[in-house]
Amino acid sequence: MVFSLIQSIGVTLLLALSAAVLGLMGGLFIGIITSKQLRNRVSFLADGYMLIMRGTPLFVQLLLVYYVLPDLIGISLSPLTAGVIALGLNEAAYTGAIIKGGLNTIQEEQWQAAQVLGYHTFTTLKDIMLPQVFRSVMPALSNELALIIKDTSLVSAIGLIEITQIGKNLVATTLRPLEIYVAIALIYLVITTVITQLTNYISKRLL
Amino acid sequence: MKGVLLFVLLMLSAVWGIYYASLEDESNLLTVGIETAFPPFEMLNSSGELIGFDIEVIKQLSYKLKKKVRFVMMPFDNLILSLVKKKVDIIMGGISITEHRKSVINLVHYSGNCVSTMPLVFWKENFGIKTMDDFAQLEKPVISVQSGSIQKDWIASFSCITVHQLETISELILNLKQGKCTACVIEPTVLSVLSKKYPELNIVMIDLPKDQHIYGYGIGVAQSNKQLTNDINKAIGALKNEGVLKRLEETWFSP
Repeated sequence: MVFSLIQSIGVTLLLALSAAVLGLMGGLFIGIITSKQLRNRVSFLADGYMLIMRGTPLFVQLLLVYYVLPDLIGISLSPLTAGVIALGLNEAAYTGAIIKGGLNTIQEEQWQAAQVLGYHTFTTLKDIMLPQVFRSVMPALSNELALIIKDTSLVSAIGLIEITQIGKNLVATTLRPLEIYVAIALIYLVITTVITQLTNYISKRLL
Repeated sequence: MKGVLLFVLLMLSAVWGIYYASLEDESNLLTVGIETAFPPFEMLNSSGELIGFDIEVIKQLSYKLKKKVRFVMMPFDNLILSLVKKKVDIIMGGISITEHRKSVINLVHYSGNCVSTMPLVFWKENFGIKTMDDFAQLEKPVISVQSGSIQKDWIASFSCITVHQLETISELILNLKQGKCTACVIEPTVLSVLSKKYPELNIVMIDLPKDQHIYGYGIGVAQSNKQLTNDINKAIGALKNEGVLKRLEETWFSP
């Protein structure tokens, strides 16, 4: 039991961190192409993506990724992979909105100055804009990370043994929901607290 | 910052690499979709291992089929969908054989007889109820059922009764105990085990209409998977003849 609990905590962390990385990469792309300065002909696609992913329940998205997506693209997904994809795609939309907001707060003069100095758009983004953006949106991003960790509990519905599933199994054998669900909640609390404190520390030290 | 990101990325890719490397050879594997809280068919013991009648049947079946077994745990209402979508090879979990289910998946009978009544379960007090009409007369009648079960389909045909759908049998008992519902409907074999554990349960048997009769329990196989259906049919037939299934029934179902 203890072993399967530790294993399930590992599964939860792997799921959450992989989804966070996927979400950060996707969100960076979405945020950049929908920002005020860099809007172009394909921005509407990213707008639509954000509209759909933020306007539908994550649980439904998870069921779609697990049961419907494999039919469309013809590959089979394990519950863990499906969970990472669903959480990551959902996260990309929210992170995209955060990055977009961060980029939009930067004054237009900075863009003009960079242009006058002969910076390429990519260099402007990488060396001037994004470092400022990350400094200001870091609290929001670490908030998102905590949200993903909690959302991993949904993946128990497609058969992944993570912390919530272990709790459900324990309640099924003992019929003691009070102790077990409180303990499960505490485990999540510890994980989210440790992870958010860690990201806060890292961002303070390194940004 | 870049160093930290790179470190996280490397760690993650390493873990994923190990995960994919550790995946078993799928060719000789029988994946079994199963729910975990349906005693005596399947349940978890105090150390978190799956035990129960179905688990023993699967073990015997795997010897006959010469395949390794991997259990995939999921809510009962996802079992049939997962089977049809080929997420698992077979499904088990005290799945009652009904005409409707037989039209969607192949069900290989392995235990149980025809059932024409369904138990309505109360906590201590049964309000003198004998039929579903009596029950509907109660003030705010609420019934809890397991979602995706045949009990749910049956109860849903009574429009004046509020239905709560829950995932597992243990949640049903929990709701009943805490007074969140007036009664619940539970699979008869499961109930016979539960009523020993919880003497407070008060059971009223209700007759089922003809089209809702149940023809025992079956192992679910996708209709497209004819080969596996045949193999399992043969293996179960052999297990029945050898008396293995009877012995298991005596161990797990006897009071």
